[in-house]
Amino acid sequence: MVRIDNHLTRIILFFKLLIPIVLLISGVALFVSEISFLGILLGLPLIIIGSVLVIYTYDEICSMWTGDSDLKDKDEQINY
Amino acid sequence: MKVNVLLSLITAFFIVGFSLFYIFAVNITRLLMTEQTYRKGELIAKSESRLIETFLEYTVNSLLFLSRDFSIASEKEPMQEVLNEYIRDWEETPVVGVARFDSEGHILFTANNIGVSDNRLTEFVFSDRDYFVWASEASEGEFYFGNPFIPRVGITKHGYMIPLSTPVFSDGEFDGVLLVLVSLSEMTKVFISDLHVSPNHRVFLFYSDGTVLISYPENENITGVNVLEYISENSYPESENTLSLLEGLIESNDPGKLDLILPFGEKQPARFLVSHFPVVYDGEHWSLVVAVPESDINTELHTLKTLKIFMLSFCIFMVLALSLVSVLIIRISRKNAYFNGLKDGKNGKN
Repeated sequence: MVRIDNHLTRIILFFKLLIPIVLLISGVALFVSEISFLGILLGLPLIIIGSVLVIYTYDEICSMWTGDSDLKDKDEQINY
Repeated sequence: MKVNVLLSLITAFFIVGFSLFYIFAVNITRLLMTEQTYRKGELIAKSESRLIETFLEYTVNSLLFLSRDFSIASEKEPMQEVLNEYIRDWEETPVVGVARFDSEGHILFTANNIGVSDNRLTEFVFSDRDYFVWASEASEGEFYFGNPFIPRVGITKHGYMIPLSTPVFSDGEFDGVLLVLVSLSEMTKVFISDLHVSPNHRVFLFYSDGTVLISYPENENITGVNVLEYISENSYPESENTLSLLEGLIESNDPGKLDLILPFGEKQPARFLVSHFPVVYDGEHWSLVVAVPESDINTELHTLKTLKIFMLSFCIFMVLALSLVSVLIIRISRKNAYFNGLKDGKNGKN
């Protein structure tokens, strides 16, 4: 596993993950609110955008965590 | 990248599906609950109106039976005892008083089951009352079912009474009148207060001209008031529509259901789901109305909606969790596949 050492990268990732989660939760809150039509009109896109962003951010975190993005650079480290 | 697009599309598809199902579930629940409330209201209105009709019929039969009793007709027996016995039999029922008038309209004997004793009763002459006038010209075995009225003496604090009277004959000659008073307020307690549709439901018994005979929960400001005049004088948005629908309801001989904005909300006019059933007896036509405030349904719906919100959130969470697990599996698989391929390449495998 690859460690994410850079603090700035960590902070950026944290906010990258926080924003879609906030979008997702506020989307659900709007969707189930008593504001009948506007709630659905705004809530549903927010939920979808939030979910898609969560998937992409998580994918970014996973690729950094597994080192998938720079596997070729790590070729020398492999003990055959 | 392509995998992410695919996962995003699948997630979005499921989320839209769950959301549409949620909207459908909430709306269908509201519709079903409204329909159920109407049905419960109809059932209660029907059973209460039938109870009132049956009770009135039974009371009239007992009155006729009493009038035929020799001791009452001839005055040879201790009539007061007979009346006391009669009223004891009707204890805890809407029959609150019985009186025996002579042929001139003076009260000879009277008994009631609410402990009221009014000495002024003997001073009055009741020969001008509609129940007495009718009975003085009626034949034996006929009865009078009068309009509800509030007595001026005697049982005055119990609101509207229905007078039931029948003539008493002695040796074929008119010898007076026997009167039974049925309290509408007691009728509310006995027949209406125990049947509940919702926590804040209202029950009204409208006279054929729109006068509120019974109002449950009891409200002295409404009882005795003509509801049509009341709404005309205290207009509010949609009161015109309510007025025309209410007129139709009061005149109708058929049961039905209506969605009305009535001026009987807690603070202001509110929307009510109204079920009504006619009470028909001896030519009299009343309407028994069960009204459930829409806010009661919303309260019940709120509980169910909370459960649905949890279910929707859980479904979205599950879809998202599956997508994220897939992302993780794909990333790990890719890494392993890369290492295996690299290893095989170094070992000269194809």
